[in-house]
Amino acid sequence: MLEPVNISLESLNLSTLTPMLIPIIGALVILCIDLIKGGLNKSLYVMLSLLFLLMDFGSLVDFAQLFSENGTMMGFFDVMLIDGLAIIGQLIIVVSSMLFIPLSLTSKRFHEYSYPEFYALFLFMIAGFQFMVATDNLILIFVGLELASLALYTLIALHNRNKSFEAAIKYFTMGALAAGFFSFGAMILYALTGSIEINQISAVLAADEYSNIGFVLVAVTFLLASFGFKLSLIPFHAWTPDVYEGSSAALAGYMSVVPKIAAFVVAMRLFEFLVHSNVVWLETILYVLVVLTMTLANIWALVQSDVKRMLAYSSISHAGFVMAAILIGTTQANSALFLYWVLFAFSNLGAFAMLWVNRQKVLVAGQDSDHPFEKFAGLVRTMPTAAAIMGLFMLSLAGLPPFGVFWGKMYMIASAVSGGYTVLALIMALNSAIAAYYYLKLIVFMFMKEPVYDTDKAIHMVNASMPLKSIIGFATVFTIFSVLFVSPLMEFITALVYNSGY
Amino acid sequence: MEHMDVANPYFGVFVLFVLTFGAFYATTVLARLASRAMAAKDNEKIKLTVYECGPEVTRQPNRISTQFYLFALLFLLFDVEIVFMFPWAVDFRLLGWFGFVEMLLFILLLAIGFIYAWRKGALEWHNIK
Repeated sequence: MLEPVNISLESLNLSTLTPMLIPIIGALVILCIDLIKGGLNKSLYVMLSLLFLLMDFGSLVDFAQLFSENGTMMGFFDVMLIDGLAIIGQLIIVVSSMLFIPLSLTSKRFHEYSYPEFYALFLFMIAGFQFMVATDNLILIFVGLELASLALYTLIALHNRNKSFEAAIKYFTMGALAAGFFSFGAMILYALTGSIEINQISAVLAADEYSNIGFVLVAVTFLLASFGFKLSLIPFHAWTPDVYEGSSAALAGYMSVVPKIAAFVVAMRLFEFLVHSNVVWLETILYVLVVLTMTLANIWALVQSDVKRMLAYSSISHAGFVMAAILIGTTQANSALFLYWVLFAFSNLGAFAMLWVNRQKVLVAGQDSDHPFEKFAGLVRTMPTAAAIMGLFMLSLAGLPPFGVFWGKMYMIASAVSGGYTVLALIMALNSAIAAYYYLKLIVFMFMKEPVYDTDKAIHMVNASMPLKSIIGFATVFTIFSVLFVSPLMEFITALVYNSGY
Repeated sequence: MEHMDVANPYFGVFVLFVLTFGAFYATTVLARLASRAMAAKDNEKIKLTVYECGPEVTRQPNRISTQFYLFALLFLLFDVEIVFMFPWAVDFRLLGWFGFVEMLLFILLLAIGFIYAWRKGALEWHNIK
């Protein structure tokens, strides 16, 4: 007779689950409210989502406090891992979600926002991303990734146009392929080491000095391909522009920020111990991937005729830029990754929100996509403020001082130089120069050209409502005054990253 | 709660495998025989067209009604639920109160999903006519 299992609740440390449980409960509450009384206004659901995300944010701040006192926390049979990376990753995820969800309060009616399921799926997706960053267990990473991705595919398809179905199917196919690769890689690592926890895997691999190097290489190739799909690194990027074009601008902006930071955290946990092992050659592969991703995406962005596609290629290029941090692997580089992504998140939020504001439902004559460059021609004549704000976000993305992303680029290049990657730093600087061309192209269109379409000024503000304007205002303020809080932010991030040993 | 002592720990799985094989074959054969014997054999014109319970092909290019997918999804939901519940029921005494509460939470999550599907009308067959 076997003894009954006795598990003390203290040893489970269930509080490590709170940040994920809050959005899950929120999603269930939203679903139940809809079951009890249907047809409620969307602003109620937006406010409920914001409320739950705010509670989530509060619990994360609490964890940041606990982490600085007690160090890394494990919980739930040591599956959950709350360390500095998990806390910053979740903070970025939750804060950007809080900023993106009010974008659904448009003045024009888009039918996906009238479904409570939209908000429930949104919250489930956030929980998935949070699970992904707050563990080093490969199975839970996989489950979190799939929970988040499946919700995201549905959110894209809910936009309900032919292009968004196409986008959802393409993203789903690519995501399924990536999930397959991830499980192959994880399976091989498990077969080699008998563990699915990343720190165990690294310990076992180091203990027998990578004797099964062939298998390790195969596993790493699979994992790199799967993260390549999620982070849209070249040559796995092909889905990105189509998916961004097909989904609504608000969701495209969200996709360029949140799924990527989750994948970056996992890639950091997974590849950090392999990059500098000198046996796996991951360093060489990553070097090539990073340089290709930065350069080719920039060159493709030059020839785009649609602003949203241009921003899609620019986000690929930024992802390549940031991936360099995982290649460099120093604490300074890893902290620069998070700083860069925070600043990039705000600039991108602003840029995509500006696109979302002028998304009209019926295209004018001669317009073949939602946001061609010609639409913005001569914007400064009709709406000087909007033109100035859009120009500001473009300058920030181009990395002009003293706006947001410049500080990220500065810290990143500095960490490349001090990490001994001088050539890489040079390539990064050159790429920033190339990127300036297509960002400035939009500014030239807005400030120096005559209007192309014969319309009133209404099409540029057709969606604007108070919540959207406040979000854009918030992003503007953050981007302009980033100089004031970059160094305290960097200190906060560095402390968290350093204390969790990365 | 002791398992039978056999040379290979997976012997039981093998037995189950063989049994399932036989049972599956028998079920399909039985189903075929029964449906042959009991089916109403009237060959009207509409029944012999491409797909009997779909509307005109021009309106619905795929021949399988989407309602089948809904049923398949719901089936999958409860199928997986049973997969989780069965080992829990076998080891119910071992797992004790902790396992009981865990399973209750799991069922609660599924129940919300089920009620949601029910209230949204996923369990009703919407007649296209």
